[in-house]
Amino acid sequence: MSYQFNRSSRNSLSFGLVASSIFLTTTLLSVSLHAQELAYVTNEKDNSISVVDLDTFSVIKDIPVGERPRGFILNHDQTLAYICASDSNRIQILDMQTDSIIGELPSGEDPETIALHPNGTTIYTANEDDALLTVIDIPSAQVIAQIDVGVEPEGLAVSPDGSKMIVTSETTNMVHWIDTATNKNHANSLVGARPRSAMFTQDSSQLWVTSEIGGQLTVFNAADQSVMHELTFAIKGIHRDRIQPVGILLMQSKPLAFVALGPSNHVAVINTQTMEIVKYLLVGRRVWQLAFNQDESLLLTTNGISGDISIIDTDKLSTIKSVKVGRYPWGIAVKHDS
Amino acid sequence: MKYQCAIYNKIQCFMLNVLVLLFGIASANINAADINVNIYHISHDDITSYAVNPLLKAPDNAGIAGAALGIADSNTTGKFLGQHFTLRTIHLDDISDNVNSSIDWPALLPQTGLLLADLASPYLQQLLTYNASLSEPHLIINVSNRDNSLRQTQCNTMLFHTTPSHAQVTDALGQWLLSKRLNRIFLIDGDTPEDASWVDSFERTAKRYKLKIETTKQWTFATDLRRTVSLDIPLFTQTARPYDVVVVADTHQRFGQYIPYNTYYPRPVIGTAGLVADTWHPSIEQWGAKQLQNRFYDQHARSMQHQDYDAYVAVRAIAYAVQQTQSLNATPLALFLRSDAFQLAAYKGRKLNFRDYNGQLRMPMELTHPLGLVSRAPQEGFMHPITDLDTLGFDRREVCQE
Repeated sequence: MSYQFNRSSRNSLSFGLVASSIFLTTTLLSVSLHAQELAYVTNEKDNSISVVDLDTFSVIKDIPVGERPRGFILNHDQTLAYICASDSNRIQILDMQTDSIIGELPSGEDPETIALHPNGTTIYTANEDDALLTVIDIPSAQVIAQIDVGVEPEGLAVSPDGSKMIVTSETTNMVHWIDTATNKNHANSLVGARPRSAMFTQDSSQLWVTSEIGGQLTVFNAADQSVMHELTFAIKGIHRDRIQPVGILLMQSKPLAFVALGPSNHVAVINTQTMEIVKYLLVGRRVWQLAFNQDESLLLTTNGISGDISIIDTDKLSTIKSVKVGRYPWGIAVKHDS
Repeated sequence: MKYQCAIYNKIQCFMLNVLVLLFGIASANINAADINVNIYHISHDDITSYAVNPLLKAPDNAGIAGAALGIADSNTTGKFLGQHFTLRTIHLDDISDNVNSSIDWPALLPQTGLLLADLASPYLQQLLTYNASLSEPHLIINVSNRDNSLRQTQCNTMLFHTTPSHAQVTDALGQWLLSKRLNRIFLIDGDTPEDASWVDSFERTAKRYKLKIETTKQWTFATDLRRTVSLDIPLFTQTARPYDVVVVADTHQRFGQYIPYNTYYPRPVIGTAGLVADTWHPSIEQWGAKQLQNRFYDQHARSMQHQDYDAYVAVRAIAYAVQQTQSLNATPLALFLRSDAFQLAAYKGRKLNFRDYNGQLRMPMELTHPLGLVSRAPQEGFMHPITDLDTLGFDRREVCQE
């Protein structure tokens, strides 16, 4: 744990050590009571993060962060979080033990989303206003490369094997394929209008991409960028224009995938073996991003307009709860049991 | 290298792949063949602007500034496809003194091209007549003329409108009035022909939504409102029985801005002043609009106006059609624009497309006051068998009927 601190920020080393030892002590004391999972949700309009306790389903803390926080990810051992503070033009680093901002990374203008390479030291961010993908080395806090991509780059994904990364551009309607070894854009694939989110399968063989306005999900063969599947969605009683696929999440423990469908206020459940849509789950208004808890028993969704998160039981495939957070919740990640 | 395509254009895609094979064009990217696309913006000197308030004067580059941003965005996209877009401008001589004098179109226009028309009706009518006589007609997108008759009587398949009709605007206002139960109307008519068409359109809306225009009065310009506004307006708007709302038809912004807060009964003012319905407003930020506003500001150092949005969307529509069809010819592009395959993401939270029966872009309308968004049309509950967007403007059966 402290090793990770050492790599990421020399200045915070001693602080981090102290913080983690305090945390360790409190954890040892409380571990017999109950394990606790916490969901961190960025509130785009409140410049804050809401921390939701997944045992009690209540907000236990608000953390003030930079302006217009959107993308939010954790590092692999969950000691640090990276936050896109879009209007502050920076990526902030949050210490997950103390819930305080301990540093920042140079991000270029208006960072919206971020993705971490499996090596833990390279972070990618999309600069929406400048049509750029910025590659940042975390230990040195230096920008290594900026890659020209299409208008309004948005969705980022790094293959779990670390060899590939992609960025989608909303207004260009493309997936840009980038070789992580050379940081070169080597292929581009046209998709439906306004591609938003992307995710590789765990074996890095497939890339899933949603097109918000096109209303499609496209599954690519990551090896040759050919299209394997195209899916559209239909929900009874909801006009097709309102069914706008955005966030994607692939389950590891079951052959299921979840796709948030924006202003249709539903999440689609897809069987990844048959590529059939199993069910549509009703959630809050303008559902946006998705996250699992550690054992994948719960799926959480951020709902922009209703300002809450919905909690879905992944065994029963039903929505069991909604929790009010800040205004326009956007990014989400779960801190696991310690 | 195989050309990748995820959507619709399977046939073109196949043909392109054949080309790639035949000519051995190999590249790391999907730009199989470089193409240059010229888009022509045709305008003329402004018809006299009557606006007396500097806040209401349109910027000198209103409209064309949006087209320029559309070109920049399309080129960012185009560099991955080997497509390069260029904006060319054509300026017409003033014919306002004699609208019957004919314009030498063959000398002005390219052989066959993609045209954005920023033209008043007399010029546009001439252009349409000329275009109809050509064996290879131009693709024309009207980016500024809101005349209803262009949508009702012109059904040429080469003509499109990215600017809304007056009917889309007045229907958006009518839906809002109905949803607020503001049924009894005091209507003020300016005295220009443009105001008269606006009033016609509003009367159609009132009939559709059963709104009651109790009083219509024509503004007389017998006074200088900048001095006597608080005396003249209450007198002008005095009626025996209270109305619910004042609707102003002052398309040239000559007096409408003085009506709010001065009506005899304290009632909301809507129309061309107060609450207005249009395609765009600098305060809009939802659905990615903030990014578009930022890019526009970076390029032009001013806020994006509705004229800019209408022209921006026209360029993006052409660029999307070129991207999907890989064609440069006006006729196949026009065919694609009218097809179900056309889907434009244009910062409205839903896909936009063209009505196949009159080439009008379907779109939500933004209802704004001078500093911010109030509401959006279509209002909840207004339904249509095809799409709720068709509750705004002319439906199929109202168009090109003998």
